[in-house]
Amino acid sequence: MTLEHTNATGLTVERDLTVARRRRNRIRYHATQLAVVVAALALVVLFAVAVKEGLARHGIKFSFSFLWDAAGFDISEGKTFVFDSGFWLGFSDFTSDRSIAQAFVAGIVNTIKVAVLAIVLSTVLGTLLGVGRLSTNWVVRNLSFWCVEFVRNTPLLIQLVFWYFAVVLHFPPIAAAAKFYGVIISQQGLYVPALTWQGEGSAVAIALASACWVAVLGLVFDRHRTTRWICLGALVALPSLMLATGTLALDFPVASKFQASGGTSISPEMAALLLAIVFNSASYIAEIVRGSIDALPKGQWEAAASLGLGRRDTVNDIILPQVFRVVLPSFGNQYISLTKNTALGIAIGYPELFNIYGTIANQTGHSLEGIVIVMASYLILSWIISAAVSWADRRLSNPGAMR
Amino acid sequence: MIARSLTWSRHNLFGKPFDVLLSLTVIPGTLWLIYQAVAWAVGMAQWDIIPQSLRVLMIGIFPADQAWRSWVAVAIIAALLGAALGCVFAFRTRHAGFLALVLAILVSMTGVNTLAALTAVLVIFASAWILTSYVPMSRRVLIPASFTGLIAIFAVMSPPGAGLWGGLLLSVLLTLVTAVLSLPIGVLLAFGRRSRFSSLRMISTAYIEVMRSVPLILVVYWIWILMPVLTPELNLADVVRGMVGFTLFYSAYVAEYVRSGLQAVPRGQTEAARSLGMSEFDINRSIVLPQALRVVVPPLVGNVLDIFNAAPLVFIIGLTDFLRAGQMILANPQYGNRTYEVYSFLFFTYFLVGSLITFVARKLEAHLARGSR
Amino acid sequence: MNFKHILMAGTFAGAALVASHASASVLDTVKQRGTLNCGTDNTAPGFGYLNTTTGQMEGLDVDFCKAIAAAVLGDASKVKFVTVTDKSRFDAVLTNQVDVVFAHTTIKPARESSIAIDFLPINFYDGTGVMVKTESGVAKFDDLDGATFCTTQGSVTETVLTSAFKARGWTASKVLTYENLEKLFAALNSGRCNAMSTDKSALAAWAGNSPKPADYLILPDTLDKSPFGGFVVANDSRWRNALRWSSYGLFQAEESGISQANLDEKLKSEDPFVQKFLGVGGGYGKDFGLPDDFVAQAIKAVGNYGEIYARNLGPDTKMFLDRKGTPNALWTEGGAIYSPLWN
Repeated sequence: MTLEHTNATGLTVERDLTVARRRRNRIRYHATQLAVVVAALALVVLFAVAVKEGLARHGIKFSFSFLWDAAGFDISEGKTFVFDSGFWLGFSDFTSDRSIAQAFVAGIVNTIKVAVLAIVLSTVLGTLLGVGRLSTNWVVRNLSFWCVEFVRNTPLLIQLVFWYFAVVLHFPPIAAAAKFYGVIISQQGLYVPALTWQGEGSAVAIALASACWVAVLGLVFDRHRTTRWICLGALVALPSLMLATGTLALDFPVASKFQASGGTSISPEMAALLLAIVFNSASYIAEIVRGSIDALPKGQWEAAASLGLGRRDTVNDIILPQVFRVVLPSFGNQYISLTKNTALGIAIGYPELFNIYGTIANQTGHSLEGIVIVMASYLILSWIISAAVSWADRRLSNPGAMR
Repeated sequence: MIARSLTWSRHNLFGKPFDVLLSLTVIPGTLWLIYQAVAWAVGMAQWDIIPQSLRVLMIGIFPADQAWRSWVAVAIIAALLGAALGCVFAFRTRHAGFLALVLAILVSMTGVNTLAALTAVLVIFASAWILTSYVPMSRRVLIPASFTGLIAIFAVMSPPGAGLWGGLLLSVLLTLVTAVLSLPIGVLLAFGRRSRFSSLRMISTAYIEVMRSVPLILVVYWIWILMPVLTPELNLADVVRGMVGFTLFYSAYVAEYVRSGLQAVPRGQTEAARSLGMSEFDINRSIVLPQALRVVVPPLVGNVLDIFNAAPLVFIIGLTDFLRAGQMILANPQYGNRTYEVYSFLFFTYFLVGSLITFVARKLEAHLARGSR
Repeated sequence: MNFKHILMAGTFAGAALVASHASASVLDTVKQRGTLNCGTDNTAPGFGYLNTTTGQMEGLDVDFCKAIAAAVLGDASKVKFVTVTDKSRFDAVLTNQVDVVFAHTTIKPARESSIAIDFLPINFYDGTGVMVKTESGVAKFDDLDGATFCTTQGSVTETVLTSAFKARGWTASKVLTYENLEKLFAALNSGRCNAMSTDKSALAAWAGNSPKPADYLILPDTLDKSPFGGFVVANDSRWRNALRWSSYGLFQAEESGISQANLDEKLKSEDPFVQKFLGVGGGYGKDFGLPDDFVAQAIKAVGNYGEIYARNLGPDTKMFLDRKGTPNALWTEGGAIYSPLWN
């Protein structure tokens, strides 16, 4: 240290200058950082104060206590969490004497219901359409192309309104509807037979049901092909056994004067929303699939052809596995926008989250508090979807997962 | 001839057993659907409702005696669109024939009394197109001109009251305003997301991610409720608040497109500019941004289509856009049985405008791909 | 608090002392702006409805908007109609987007106590009714156990139906809500809804305007009474009083036999009450911050209450709602349309 000071004074001065400049730059950097943070904080505080003042001016109190009031209104369909049976969390139909918070839950459940179904269906349909656009069959190619073009170039809202008012509501009324092995398709909804649990608390029945779950989990998570086949076999065998022994029973819907009871049903609103969103998202997914098939090197097709693989085998075994690895992030974006699109259900009276928010805001006047809840719900849903997609992405690009 | 068509159909329709099956089910089904649709459109449909309610469909409840204002707005929009088109595609003589065809179709749809106005609009469109095609200088003023144009539209449309805007004109205006205003905000957000300052980066990222995770209809409704609470003195019209909501929402999307463009600019460009001693601001403004924007023009045009397709969502704040205007005509119980006629017209118009935007986007993509080679 | 407000507060220091908080009344805002932003529905025939052939707004609520604009600003054309839905109408007035709302809104205490609005005098007496299609064979409300009912989102009907089900112990009946009446009517026509429930006047309007009114049956049951009134933001008594007395003026004009047709002649009347009522040589307006001839201006624009009613809802219209024997008749004829004493 001392040596340096005495022997190389010029060098030290230069180094000091550099250090000083670096320090100055660092200070400037941190000052800017600080300024940005302070400005952002100030903006948020200003915003909060302005909202609070605005609300006070109108005599509105910002509080979430209304969530625990009784709702007093009905929702046409929807299940919610209940605490009726003591400690255990139940899951049953929403009725007017439940709380506002439970109404919100019913809305979220309805949104998730449509979103999950639409994600599955639109992925399948979209992949078919995307592959169809590259089909060797002229009719299929052009039909897929025009379907995709038409759907992508018109607003989703008009498609939704059209599906609901011009298609679904033109189904026959329940009295005149065709009944096909317990399936009823009518303008009151689509009814299908449902499985009901008759096993009560018997140990054998519960063991069988748990075995089913294990099989499902094995099918989804296990990486060995043989184990999967075994799980699949178990999934066929176990429920048949339970049906035969009477622990599970089929509940057929029975049409009455105005609607049908029993079984499982999909309301016309849900059917229309599902149809509109599935077709819309499928068109976008088809474009993603087509784009990434186009982007694959031509050599892949040629190599497959030289191995003597047929076109269908080439698509199934060579092209699609590669495509799915590439398109997953784009699919994720599409799934998020699909979930957001369910908010259009308000236009046809489907009681999804935004629609129920509308009812609550009107009946209670707490529109701002409601917005906070709705916004947080959508944010969480989006995050769940992107987390799930990136999990799937990681799993797919994991070499062990490749066949 | 017959032999050739037979070979064609063998290759394209009946190549394999599965194809035969597909063709045999899909072709008759499609033909039957088309036959039904045509039979209905020609035979049963009562189209008289469309010309009768055309004014409501186009401009909503805007007062009839003030209709000249909407024509002026349409002319300004035509000039801006023509000028934008000219920046990319040069005007050729064959385009004039195409424009004449468009004029003929429009006049046959709307009646002879709008001939003069429609001609004037198309002439303005063509002149703006020619101007930017052949006078490169004029392209520079396009951005200030579009802002001035939008302000002029507001000025000319405002006197009868912004609450009266409606119909297709409202949809188009909303789309234009959102597209133009979201661009600068989006560019700023995109730079913010790449900034050296982690705080700026975090704020921009948070804004973009939140906006991309919530439904547009929610953002529009929220802005609509909140703005008067925040600024009671301003008393903004519903239309303006709708536009603010749309702009805030789509800025996040524009930011993501621009960011992908920024990533596409090779690092060497920035490094070369830095070694020339240019400041960061200058590098970004005159080296990085122009190249990035060039890449993202096609997705941005696609974004315009998204905005246009989302415009009907303004029903939630009580505005009468094109779709809502159609529904309002059907709300008259006397017209209750004309559902299919009105919806067909709405679908047709939306599809026409949407396809046009898509067509331009595809052409641009091809054009730019050729240019960069 | 901009410069103008400070100036005003300074000039009217005395007034500012009386009114403890210095926030300006909507009345001043409207006069300063020169236009009235009036919230109405545009899908409710007879109340607020866009006539798609003329492009003009029509209806009882629309006429009240015009009357208020004429009374406050002296010109009925200075009104700007802002469309509000059942869902948005309270937010619209709470957030100052509109100065007043006339949108067939039922007056009930929860709305004044929890939403911070004040109602104006009742301008129509209605009741919640139920309409079914004639072919369904339903004759009374009790036949509808298990049926799907449709109504508008955010309306009182939603809760009225829920309590009606509860009282009868119905569990299978459902309530489906849409955001406007036109979708409701379409759903009833298609058969999605077995019954459409909203105010009886609206039911009459939709049935009456349809190509075949005989296809619909309005059930005799009235589930709930629903008196309609406009409303303004709470705690602004100057604005509310101005509007209340403008409305009462329309009632009183009918009682005193002053109409749009004979207004010019009545303006020359020697009767001191009529003179003061119409603001000839000093009237009631000044005390409310209105022009003295505010009632005369309103009558000139839209006529008295009877004329407004006849034009929009009466037997000559498609609504076909006769006033006789209903609360909507003048009190002198056994109804409930009543104005407080003026002199």
